[in-house]
Amino acid sequence: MTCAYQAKDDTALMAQIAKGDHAAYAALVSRHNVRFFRLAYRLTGRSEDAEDIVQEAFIHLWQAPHMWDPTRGSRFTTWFYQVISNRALNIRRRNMRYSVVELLEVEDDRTDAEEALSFKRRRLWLEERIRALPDRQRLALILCFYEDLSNQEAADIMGIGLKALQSLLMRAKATLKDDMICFDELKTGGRP
Amino acid sequence: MKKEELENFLLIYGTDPQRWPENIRTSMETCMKSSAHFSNLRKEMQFLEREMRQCLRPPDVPGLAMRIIAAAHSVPPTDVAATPWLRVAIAAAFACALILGGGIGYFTGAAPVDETLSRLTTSALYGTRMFL
Repeated sequence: MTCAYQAKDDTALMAQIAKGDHAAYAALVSRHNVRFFRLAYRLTGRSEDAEDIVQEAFIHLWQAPHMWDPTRGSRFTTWFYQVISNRALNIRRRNMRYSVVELLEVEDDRTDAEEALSFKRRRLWLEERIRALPDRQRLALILCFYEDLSNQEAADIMGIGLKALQSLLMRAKATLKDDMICFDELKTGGRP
Repeated sequence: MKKEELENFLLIYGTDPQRWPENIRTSMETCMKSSAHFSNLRKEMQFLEREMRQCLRPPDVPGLAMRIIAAAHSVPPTDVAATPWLRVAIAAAFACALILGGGIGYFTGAAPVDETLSRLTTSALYGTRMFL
């Protein structure tokens, strides 16, 4: 039975969910929970918040599956990306705080202590710069670069045109590139 | 292809040729191979992307799916659209209220206002100064 549900696409599962089919709901949640958690985490920077966002969004989906209307032409994932990103950005605006502890807890497999420290500093700096990007630039970057979605998919999720998305991506990456150069110059004291 | 143009393409599509649009892929690859300057641009972007990959790594969340599924078990679906009879009942109630209200208004008619009585009541409540 589980295999039968796994073989179904999102639209078919959503049709079953609308009839109150719990197994279909379980299949949909199992299929997508990690990717939406990833997005929520990258937008909020806090795993507790990300978990809450994903959990609440999925429970809301169970309660009101007709919120997604397949006749509008958008895929389930496109629509749910919108739901998660809106919730995550709202939470982030409310909190406006970053969990430095979580950033430091990321494992580092480099052996040389100095190199590891330099690597960690650079990563923390860059991570901070990514989080400091304007919301729309950050969302565009996360969708295209981290979620590996096509530019068109990302534009659909954000409800903007392709050109606008490309402009956001360009500005985001150009800023980060400049920031990296700035970091290296600060580290070397301006020496080449 | 100009330097600025190529740099913009790299910013938009990244350094992975798989993500480049087919119509510019060949010319981009030719530029990279033919010019050391363009090749360096790509290397710079590759470095940035490598560093970015190390950032925003989400932690593992074992059991998240199970927690969501279990939580949904205790919550019944409440979608109005999922229960057509409820939608019909609400619409019928509104229609009845509208007809009833219209009927009452039509058959009873508007009562004439007794202006003297109204003034007396108002002056009793607020004094007579407001009429001066």
